[in-house]
Amino acid sequence: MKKIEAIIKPHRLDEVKEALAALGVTGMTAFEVKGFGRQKGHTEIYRGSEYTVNFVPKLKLELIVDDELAPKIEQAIVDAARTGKIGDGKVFTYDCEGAVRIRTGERGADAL
Amino acid sequence: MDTAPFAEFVARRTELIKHAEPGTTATRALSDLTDEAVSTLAEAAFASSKIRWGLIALGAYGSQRLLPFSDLDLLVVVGSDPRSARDAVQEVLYPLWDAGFEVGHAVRTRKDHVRACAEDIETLTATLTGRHLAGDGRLTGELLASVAASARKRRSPLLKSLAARPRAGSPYDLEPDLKEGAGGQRDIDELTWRTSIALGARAERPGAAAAPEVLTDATRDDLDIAQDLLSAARWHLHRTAGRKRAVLDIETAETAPFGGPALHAALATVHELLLATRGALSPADLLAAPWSPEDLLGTVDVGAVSLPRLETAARRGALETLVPGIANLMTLRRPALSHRFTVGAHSLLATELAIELPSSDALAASVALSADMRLALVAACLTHDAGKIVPGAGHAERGGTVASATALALGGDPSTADAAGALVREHLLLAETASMADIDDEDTVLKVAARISRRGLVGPLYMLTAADSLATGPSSWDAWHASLVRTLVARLDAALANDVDGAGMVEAAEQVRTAALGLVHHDSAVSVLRDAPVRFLMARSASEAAADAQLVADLGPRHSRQQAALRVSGARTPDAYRLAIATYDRTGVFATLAGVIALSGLDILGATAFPSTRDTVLDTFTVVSSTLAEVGPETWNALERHLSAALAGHLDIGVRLGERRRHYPSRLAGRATVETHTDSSFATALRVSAPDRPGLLFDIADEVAAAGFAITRVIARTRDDRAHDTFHIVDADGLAPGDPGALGHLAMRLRERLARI
Repeated sequence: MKKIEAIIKPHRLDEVKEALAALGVTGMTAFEVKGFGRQKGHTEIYRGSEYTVNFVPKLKLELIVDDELAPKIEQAIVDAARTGKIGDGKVFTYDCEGAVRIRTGERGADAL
Repeated sequence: MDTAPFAEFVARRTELIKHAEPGTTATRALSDLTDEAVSTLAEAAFASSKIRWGLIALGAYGSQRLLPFSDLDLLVVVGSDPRSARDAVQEVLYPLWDAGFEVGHAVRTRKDHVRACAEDIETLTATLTGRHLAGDGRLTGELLASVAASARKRRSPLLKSLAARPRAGSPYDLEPDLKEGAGGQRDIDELTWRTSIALGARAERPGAAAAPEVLTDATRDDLDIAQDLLSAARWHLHRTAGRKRAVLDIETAETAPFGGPALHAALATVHELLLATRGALSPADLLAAPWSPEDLLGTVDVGAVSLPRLETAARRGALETLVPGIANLMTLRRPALSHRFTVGAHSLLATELAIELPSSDALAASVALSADMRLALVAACLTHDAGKIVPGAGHAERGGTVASATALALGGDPSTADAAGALVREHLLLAETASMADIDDEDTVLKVAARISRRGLVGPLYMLTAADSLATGPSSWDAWHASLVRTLVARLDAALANDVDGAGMVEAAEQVRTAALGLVHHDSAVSVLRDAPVRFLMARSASEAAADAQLVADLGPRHSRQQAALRVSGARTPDAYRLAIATYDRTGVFATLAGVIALSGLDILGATAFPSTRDTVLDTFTVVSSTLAEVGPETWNALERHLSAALAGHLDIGVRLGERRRHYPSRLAGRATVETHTDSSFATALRVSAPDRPGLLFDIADEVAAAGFAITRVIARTRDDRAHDTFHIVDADGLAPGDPGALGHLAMRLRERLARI
């Protein structure tokens, strides 16, 4: 199993969800997060008052998937989240050692 | 001991809990039944005892309000050492414990208990509703009278302590705590305690002694109705949960017969009467006398501390002439993902939060609200969810009418009423756009700006959005959401500035789009037009937009032989031509096109450049002959040849232009000026003014590309032999460059290059 973490722009969530649903992904966890990468935040001016957004709002998605499906899911997230502009985000993939469905006690891939 | 009677009690109790109609009658019946069993146990236990004893029911049991899983609070009063009653007390308690009761008990002499009441207010309040159950009635009667009389003597500090009792939540909570929460059972209890303290005697229910102007016969009838409903709801909760439970969760509230508006009305009645008894509301606040606009606006201005007065007035109908329908909204439940309160209570809270927002929110603090706009904002906050009176989608649109009516009723003029209506209709726009649309896309911002249409509404709309979200719940307005909305607000404000007129741009662009869609027939061109950005459409007539869309649609696939398509048509300037070129986006593409045109013997009088969402560019040029030679088919053939060669990388435009300049030297003199403007979030404007000459646009665009910037838009004009060109540029990350060093370096390089010839 693999754990996939994706940092995406908030407005791309529906596109990513739809793309993953098409691949058979049935569940994920989404977090509202703030951070910066190369984008480094930005400055906005309202009526002459300047304020700086140091940490840019993003969504972080986490999902655990079968090994074979991981590359497809990784690519689906990249395709669905891309706007072509800076701040589109990143996708990270890790090995996942185990999973248990608490209700039934199923383990491993059966628990996904 | 014969256990049969107690077993029979347990069986009868189970039946009663299962079948009784929830309410005051049921709680009293359960209490009476329990009295029989406990008294019997006590009489039997103390039958052989020689000590003087009496049994008192305390707290809720003393008030004859037992619920299925209520504790049994008992006090055994003894005339001598309490240790002498130990065995008898155990005989009372063990059967109760064995049957699963939670029993709170104390064994004290009268003197000890009076002292305990003096030291602990909870012991005191439990005893103020105490009731003789068994044993020596004189002993228990003397104790209860002593405690009440002692409380009356200390009434001033006691009433202060009671007034400081923590009361969680609001009677309008969608998940109210029916016991400890505002308007819950404890509030009725406090009214009873206050009555008892005022009388210096036991009180069974709240009475006029506590507050003659508040607890009248009529309001005490209201309290009885509220008590019945509260008891019913709590009985239902205990019975369905199979345990003690005080918080009515949303799911139960929506399905139980007691969870609707009547329950909120009951909680509010109790809450209001307690506040009036405590002195936090005046008796006049409980009347439904209509408020004037000045009353309402003045109370709102006080801030959140005035919320109880506002809620009371709204629920009791005193605001109906100003805010039509708010009385019904006060008890209207529309549970959504994170809403905490009934619709009316949420709206009043949002109003107060909007007024207080500038003290904690820098962006709100910088919103300059005129008196009219402040009135519009208050009207909008009060009514933003008024449309929820009808279930289903579209509440914002429906609420707009109520908002306008409220603004007029508050003394606003028609334009203020329009503003209030617009604020309510769009009160979801900022939050939804910020989290669901790409606010880094200029078109998104322009289209939202067009919906808002007035710059003066952006600030108040932000305040309404923030207050609405804050009143909804903490998760709706955290730093994450606020940051997105504030960024959008700053961009909207800029888009609606006079020199930008985003609303006018969108309106004009949409007219062009609609007309152009009527002129094209191929799906691919329709698709180009549908995706076309506002600024692309703004720069074209409908027929030009249609023709240019077709040009983009006719491009072959990237890397195919058909890398560019061009179309020539007449221009408005005499002897000039409009040249539209579609090609794939690449580094320095505008410089390439401008250079190719110059090499083909054409002077560029004007130019526009736009990237599209399809990784293509569509640039238009107004051109005239740069020599005395006539422009004809050979010119366009030469242009196409140069274009193909340049896009294939087979043409060194810089070298060829140098040769051309040697043949056709420019005789125009003057210095070039270069300025950069970084006030847009989307691109930095590079403004160049210079004497015209062959290849000028190429030189500028080439220098921009060499500095690592991309051109997103160009507006080039030539007037009186001087070119005035504005390039909108972004850096490699697609962001508007703002580094003064990098921009200064580009300006210096440009001045040097333009001064060379």
